[in-house]
Formats: sequence, C-alpha cells, structure tokens
Amino acid sequence: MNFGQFGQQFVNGLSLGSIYALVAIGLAMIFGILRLINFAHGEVLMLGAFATYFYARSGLPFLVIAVLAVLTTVVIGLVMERVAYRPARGAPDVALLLTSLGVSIALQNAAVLAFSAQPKKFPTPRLIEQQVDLGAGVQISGTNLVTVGVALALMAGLTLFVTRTQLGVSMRATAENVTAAQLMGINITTVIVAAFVIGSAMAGVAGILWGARVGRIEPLMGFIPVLKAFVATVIGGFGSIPGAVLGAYILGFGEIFLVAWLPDALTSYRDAFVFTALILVLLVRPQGILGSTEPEKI
Amino acid sequence: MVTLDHAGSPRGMARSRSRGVQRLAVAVAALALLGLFLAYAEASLNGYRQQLVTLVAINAIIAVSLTLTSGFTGVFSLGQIGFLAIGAYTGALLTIAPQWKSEMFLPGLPEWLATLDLSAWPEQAALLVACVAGGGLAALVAALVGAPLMRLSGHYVAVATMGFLIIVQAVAINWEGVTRGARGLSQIPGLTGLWVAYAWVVVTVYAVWRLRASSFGRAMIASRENLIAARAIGVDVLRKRLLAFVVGAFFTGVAGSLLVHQIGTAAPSAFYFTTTFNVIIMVVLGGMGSISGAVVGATILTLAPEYLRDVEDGMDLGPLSFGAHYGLAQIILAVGFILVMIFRPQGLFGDREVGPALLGRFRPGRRRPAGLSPDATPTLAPGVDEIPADDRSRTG
Amino acid sequence: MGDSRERGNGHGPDSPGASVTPVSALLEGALSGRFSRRQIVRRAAALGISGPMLAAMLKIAPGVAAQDGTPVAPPPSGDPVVIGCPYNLTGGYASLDNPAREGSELAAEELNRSGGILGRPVRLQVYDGKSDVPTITSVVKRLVEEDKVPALAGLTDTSYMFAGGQVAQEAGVPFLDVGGTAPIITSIGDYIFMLPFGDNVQAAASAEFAQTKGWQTCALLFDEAMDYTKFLAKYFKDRYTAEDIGGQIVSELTYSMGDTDFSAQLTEFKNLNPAPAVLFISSNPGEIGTIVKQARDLGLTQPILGGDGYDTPLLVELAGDASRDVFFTTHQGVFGDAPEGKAFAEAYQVKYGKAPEVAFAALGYDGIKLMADAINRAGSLEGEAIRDALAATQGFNGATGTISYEEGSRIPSKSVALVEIKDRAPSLIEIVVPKTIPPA
Repeated sequence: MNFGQFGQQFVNGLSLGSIYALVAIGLAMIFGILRLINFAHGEVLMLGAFATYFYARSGLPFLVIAVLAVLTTVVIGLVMERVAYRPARGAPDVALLLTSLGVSIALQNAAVLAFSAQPKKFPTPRLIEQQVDLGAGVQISGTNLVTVGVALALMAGLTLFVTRTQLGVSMRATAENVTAAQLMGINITTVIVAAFVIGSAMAGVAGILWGARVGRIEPLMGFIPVLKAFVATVIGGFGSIPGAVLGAYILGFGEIFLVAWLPDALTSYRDAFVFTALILVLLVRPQGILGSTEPEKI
Repeated sequence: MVTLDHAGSPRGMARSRSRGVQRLAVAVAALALLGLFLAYAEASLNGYRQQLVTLVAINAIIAVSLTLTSGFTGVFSLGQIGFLAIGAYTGALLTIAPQWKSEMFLPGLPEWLATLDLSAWPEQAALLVACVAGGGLAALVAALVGAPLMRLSGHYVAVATMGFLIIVQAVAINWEGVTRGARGLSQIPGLTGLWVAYAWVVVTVYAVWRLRASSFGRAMIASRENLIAARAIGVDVLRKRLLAFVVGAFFTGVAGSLLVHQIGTAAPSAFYFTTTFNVIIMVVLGGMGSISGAVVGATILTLAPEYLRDVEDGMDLGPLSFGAHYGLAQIILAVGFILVMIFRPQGLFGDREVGPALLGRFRPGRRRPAGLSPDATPTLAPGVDEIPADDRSRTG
Repeated sequence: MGDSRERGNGHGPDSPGASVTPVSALLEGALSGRFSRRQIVRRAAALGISGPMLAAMLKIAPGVAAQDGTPVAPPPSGDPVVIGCPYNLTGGYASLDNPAREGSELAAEELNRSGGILGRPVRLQVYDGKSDVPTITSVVKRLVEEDKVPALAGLTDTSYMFAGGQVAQEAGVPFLDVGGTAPIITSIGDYIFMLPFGDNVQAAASAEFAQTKGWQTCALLFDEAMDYTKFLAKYFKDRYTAEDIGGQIVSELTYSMGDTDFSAQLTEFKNLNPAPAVLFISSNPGEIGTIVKQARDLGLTQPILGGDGYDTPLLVELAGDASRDVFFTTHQGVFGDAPEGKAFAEAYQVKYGKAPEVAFAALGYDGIKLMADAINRAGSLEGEAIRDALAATQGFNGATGTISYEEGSRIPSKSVALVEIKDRAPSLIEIVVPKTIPPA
C-alpha cells in the first residue's frame, strides 16, 4: 500500500469515524446521566433524515431545511423523553433499556407504515457532491469534507458547552454522581432534558450527514449507526464523551483498514474480527479506553 | 437484601417440609393439566396451531435459559441466540438424510457426519441425540467463551456477548461448506412434536428451578444483588456465573435443535438481532428473575403477533382487502411493552413465580415493594427496588 | 385434503360433483379471457375438437366473443378463490416484497375485472413473514392448514422460499416462487415452481456480454449476507472464467446487506494495478445506487455490470450522471416489445401513482396471473391438478417475459434482457439467451 492508497483509506476512515462519533456522543451523553442505552437514538437519526427529505420539497435553501430538520429531531427527542423515559425513570437499567428498544421498534414500524419501506433518495445539495483532489491520488468528496468539518465543529462546541456553562457543568456533575448532584441543588430533570436536546440534535445532524453520504434513506437505517455507536461508546469507556469520540474513530478506522489489509477471502469475516478485537479490548481494559469509573470486574 | 426461604429456623424447616409436599402437589397438578392440554392440542388443532403451541414451548425454553443467565446472575447476555444457532446447526447436520447432505453440497463436513444416517433410528431417539449434541456443543462453546467473558459485568458483558453473536452470525454466513451460507440448511426432518417440546420445557424449568433453589442459586442471586457483599462471604462469583452461562447455553442449544426440527430449515437470518430482542423482551416482560414469568412472556410474545395478524389485515370488503397496515402488530406490541415497562418495570412477575398464586396461597404480612400486586407470593423478594440509584448500572 | 377445501357453489365446472374435463377447462379459459384465440384453437385441436365444433361451443357460451373478436367475460360470482401470498412486508426484505405484493394485488384486481378464476372472484390472503424464517413457516402453515388456500404465490428470496416451500410441498399445495432466482429452489419438490429465470442464466448472459465487449479482467464485489447476490456472483465467476471466455477475476470483495459505506472495498479496487476492465457488482436494489455513486466518487470509471437487482429507478436517482456505463441483466417484460410488460407498467402507474420500484413488482403481478391461468387450465382447485397445469405451462405471456416450463423442469426457460443505462435512463441492448449456462 503506497502513500496515496493509505491516504485515501485514511480519509475514508476519518469520515466514517466522524459520523459514528456524532451518534456516539448523543448515546454517551444520555447514558452518562440516565444510565440508559437509548436504542431509539437510531430512530431519531432516521427521522432527522426523513424530515430533511420532506422539507426539501418546499424548495427552501438546504441550510434552512437542515436547521428545521434538526429542530424536528429535538422535538422528537423531547417527546420521547417525556412520554416514554420520564415515566420509567428510576426503573432498573434493563427496564429502561427495553423501553428504548420498544420505542425503537414502534418508531421503525410506524415509519414503514408512514413512509413505506422503499429507500428514498436523500436531497443532498449539489454543492457538496463535488470531488476535491488532495493530490497523490487521494480524493475526498465534498460530503466527507463537510462531515468531518461539521463533526469537529460540533465537538468543539460541545466541549465549550460542558466546560464553560452552568448547565454543562451540571450535566457533567450529574453524570459523575446523580445523588451528589441532586444534593448540590442540580435539577436532574433539567439536565436530562438538556441531554436529550443535545443528543437528539446531534443525531439529527448525523442523520443528515449519513443521508448525504449514503445517498438514500429508509426506515430501518437507524439500527446500524446506533449499533456502531454503542460499540464505540463501550470501547471508549461508557458515559465518557471524549471516550465515545475516540471509540468512534477507532471503530471507523478499524473497519476501513481491516478491509484494506485482510486477504480477500477473509473480508467477509471483518465484523467477526472487529468484534473479536472489541472483546479483547474489554478483557484487557474493561472500563474502556477512557472510562474513569472503576468497573465491576471479578 | 436477599430474602430467601425461611429454611434456617426449626419452624422454617417444618414449614419448608409442608411446602415441599405442596410444591409436589402443585407440580403434579401442573403436569397433569399440561398433559391434558397437549392431548387436546394433538387431537383437535390443525398443523398451524400445533406449530404455534410448539413454538411457545421452544421460546419458553430459550426464555427460561436466559432467565438463568441474565435474571439470576445479572449477566445481561445479548449472545444467547448465538447458542441457539449452534444447537440448531448441530442438530440439523446430525439428522438431515445423507442424500440431502450430498445434494446440498457440504464439502466442509467430515466424512462420518456427511454419511451419518439417523433416519433408520426411532424418530425420537434421533431427535434426542440431535438435541443433546446441539445443547452439548453450545455448552462447550459457552464454557470457552464464558471463562473470560464472565469477568465482565453490566453493559460490558452485554457488548461482549453481542460480539459473540455477531461472530457466530459471520461464521454461519461464511462457512459455506458446513452451514450452506445465507440460504441455510433445509430438508431437516420434522421430528419435533408437541410432547417432546414440552418434555424439554419441563426438564428446563425443573433444572433451572432446582439450580435457583440450591445454595448455588442463592449465591448466584446474592452476587447479582450485591457483588461485593457476595464476594465478602466467600462466593466464587466467576464460577457461579460461568455455570449459569453454560447451563443456559445448553438448554438454548437444545431449543435450537428443536426449532429446526420443527420448521425444517436453519438459516442465519433466524439467529440474529430480531430473535435476540424478541427473547429478551419475553424475559423482561415476564420478570427478569421469574421462571414462570419467562414462560408467560414467551407465550404472550409467540401468540400475540399471530392474533394481531387479523388487525393488520384490515377489513375485507368484497374481493380486495382494504386498509391493510403491515407493521401495525409490531407497533401495538411495542407500545404495550413500553406501558408494561413504565407501570411494572420489574416485569409482570418480577422475581416471583406464578404457581403458588394460582393455588390461592397468599401469605399475609410479607413486605412487598410498591407496585406489585398482591396476587402472588414472593419466594424471593425482588431486590431491584432497593438498590440505590448508583448501583443500578451494575445490575443491568 | 381436497374435501375440506373451499368449493364453488354451483357455478361452472367446479360445482360439486361435476367431473372436471379438459373441455370444460378449455371453455372456462375461454370464458375468463385468459386464453388468446390462437391458444384456444391450438388447445382445442389437441383435444380433437375441430374449428366449427369450437365455434359452436363458444357460441353457446354467452358473452364470450364481442363484435371486435376480443373475449368478454361475465363478472365473477360465487365464493372467492383465495390465493395465499406470503411476503416479508416488514423487516429487512420489506423494500423487495412490498412492490411484489402491490404487483400481485394489481393482478388480482385485473383478474376480477376479467372473469376471475374459474368464474369466481379472486382474493389474495397476504400475510407478513417479518423477514423471519420461523415466521414464514408459520405463515405458510396458516395459509395451507387454516385458510386452506389451493395455491400459493409469493416471496422474493431463497432462504425464505426454502422454509415456506417445504411446508407447501409437504401439504401438496403448489407454490409459485415469485422472486427468488436461485435455481436450486425447485429442488424442494414437485409442487415448487419458479417464476423468474435462474441466476445462472442471467449471470451467464452477463459474462458472455463482458466477453463481447472485450472486458477480460474483472473485480468482483458482492453482498455476502444474501443468497441472491452471493450466487449471482458465483455463477458469473463460473461462466466468466470458463475456458471459452477466459476472463480473469482479479479481486473479490464482499459487504453485508444494510451496509452503507463501501469506500474501503471500492478504494481497494481503485488501488488494483493493472486496473480491472470491468466491475461486476452483485447487489440488492437497496444498495446498488449507493455503491455506484461511491464508486464514481472515488474515481472508478470502469463499466459496472450486474443483475436484476439493478432494475430500480433508485439507481439513477441516487447515482445521477454517475450511472453512465452501468449494464445489467433483467426480466424482459418492461424493456422488451411485449405488450404485456408495457400494459403492466401503465396499470401499475395508474393504481399506485408511481412507476414499479423494482423488478419484483412485475414478478408479483405475473405470479398471480400465471397461477390464475394454471388454475383455470386445471379447472379445479385440487393441488395435484394445479401442479400439473403449472408444469404444462407453454407460452404464457407475462409482464416479465414468456414463460414455458420444459418437460420435468420447474424453472421457466425465459430469455434475458440486457440493459444499459444511457442518459439517466435504462435502455434495452438486446434480448439474449446465453450460449452456455453454468449448472445450478
């Protein structure tokens, strides 16, 4: 593999990792505060993509449509929290997890009924469909460029938010220790709502970027990203946002380079390799790479 | 935190003896009822309905096994269906007639397996071999995989076992010479009948019940409720979990063999996330620690979708059916499930069993956590409600 | 088995106790408008009925021939004939099976306007198999044992066909596989018939086409989680590397159904040196648009070749101008000159307000039409009679081509349409029958 070939695969990995990261952030944030693995996060992503698809018919500029779509996902996230998760709050983890699974199945099937199962073309703006030649045989598509850029910008914004604002610090405190945070006068409900707002917005953005990258959207599109993001958050350390981002990039690069390096005959086993590696990581470092809380290990 | 039977005191011993007699009576009565029902089903239900009744049994075995692994030990396994696949393929390869094996072209099979012909055997003996071999291989794999994995807890074990499921799936799809890849094995003889399926349910329920009631089981539950305390009193948590994992895998493997001998094909798509989530929902719906809850959950989730088909079908107006909404059944089920999780987060039965309640045995004066109905007697008080918020992440 | 099955209530040759004769079947066919005049004459001749006799027979059957010579059927009456349609309407296969279901329902509607089956109305009993193998067996069991349907038509993928087909075979109910193209499907038994051509046929057509174009090196990409894509790739490879073509597969990579990122595999292809002359990509309708788009994005300019999974408007929609130099094989109906294909496409557009999304729509349509034709020819709702009538199908003109089952084969000998995407629209290159077909 020469430099150009490596560079091309590197760009592929960076772009894939960026999308996983956006999904993983929302997942990790909600997990950190609520101890909930929100399976329905993937459906928020899917609905963000479909919202874009339907709003695009209005002919408004794409940026306006994107903002509207993200706002829609925020509303969906809030409704989800209010209707399904808040009543179940305080239930055992597994009940919450299964509630989110129920929400996910319901939304998926509702989307099949409402939009039909047929894939639809995502209205990617022409502007970002251009190819950019980086030289040495490395090409980066506008979509990839935008994906990486948007992801990095959002992550920077999020970092500022959680370190510089009152609400952000409250969120981190709550993730650290719910009881202590409550004792310090932090309103848990506000924090949870904020986590859903931010997480859903990120999922909405991820849905748009995913749609632009893949070109098509369909009701079942949310499952794979959420599964990958789930794995990413575990690799990075559950509940840790920087960990989730790191995990996402490791996973993105891992998937791309496994295909590049494995012999042809073994590429169909790449998922098996990815997960074998994952299990090994967990055995060596069960708390994940950046996980801080001492996990339970026997 | 763990409330066990009152077997420690002399009074408790007397009581437990009388309870033992009562339990035996309950068991005999239940078996007799089951026998009557099966005789009725066999005589008067058509093949489709018999298959549904059989699928209830198979799902019940899987759900009860998962109860053992996840409900009692707190190891939240997403990999159970991987064992179902192992049992399914093993059982299928043993009983498919040799001419079909050569027709399907399975060059990866060893000579003895490719030519193995169990068709001359009595059907039930062949099925027994297939089930035990399927379960045995699943248990063996569980021992190998579980030894390192059972060290993990909570969400980490969930992800690791999910990794196992994905690996099994990749092997099933790609090991063409043995599994026939994505299209799967077919021409599996239909050996599974109502009686044998329910016999395995009884065996599974009995085994899991005994395990739970044994000192082993109590240690297991203790380790779920409070790991540090359990270890402090000398419970070898890893061994307990591993045993639960292996036994659960055995019965799930048996169920896999029963399943393919009922439906006639073994395809990888039947052993992936949809089935995994389905079985988890059965267990959680019934109550994570309840054997009878798992059986009830399996029954509901096997039968309800079939009954809801008529809802999906819409109305028949003349020659065409109007208003068919495929997917509606799954929405209804999902919403129902969310409601259960909101109003009864511990599932329909929590940690308790349904048997004594049916006989109207209700002992007053026992403390019950809020939200549980008084129509059943706890043999084990649910601990989940008492764990402080911070510990909850660990019990998942 | 037959006794318990729904029977007609005194209408036509299917009334209880009436002995079913080939002549009555013929008349029934004529009444229902399923047979062309030529077919009627040919079949009548086979039965030893002369022209004048036939004319007399048709004259006494009321309303058979209108002034312009086209048969007009009386409206169907009596209990409906129920055809069972198992389809995966939710889950991973929903986007393939729903169009097939829509095609089937369109066919049923048309049949009811043109006389129904055996003079009785047609009703489809559709059940959702949820893309789950055990559910499919339950659904087919329900159709044959509870609803007691005389015939089945549905499903679009091999592994589900194996599960459902076995149940139908055991019950002795004919099952027409609507979309599964693996030629091994019919090995389930003599009640299982395929509507499409086998993948070996279309793959051979592709390989021979590659030869005529002089594409001697090929990179192969296929979906390893699905039977159709996997076997299409295998048959292509078999034929392409055979001695008389002598093509060379220089790389062989896979992905999984539902994958959305193919950049790793495609970059591998781009890094091949020397570059392959053609890419054979065996894909589902769901993924192919994305793959073509991403391939062109990465600078892969070679021609791309594939099977009937490409037969979806989504390919051009997604890939846009990148869909240049894409070639594929598919069912001929819509692309050929046959009026049936055009008529189907128009009727579908009228009923659903959209063009057929995938080739499965036309196949689902043909599935019901062929089954109705076979039942009419059988003149009975007995499984065995329908099976024999299906097996005897000769020259049935469907939307996906002309279907005949040769002696002993339950895979139709159909020719293959070779299509090229030009200016964002698929256009027919030619209708071909491959020279050599790799064994199933």
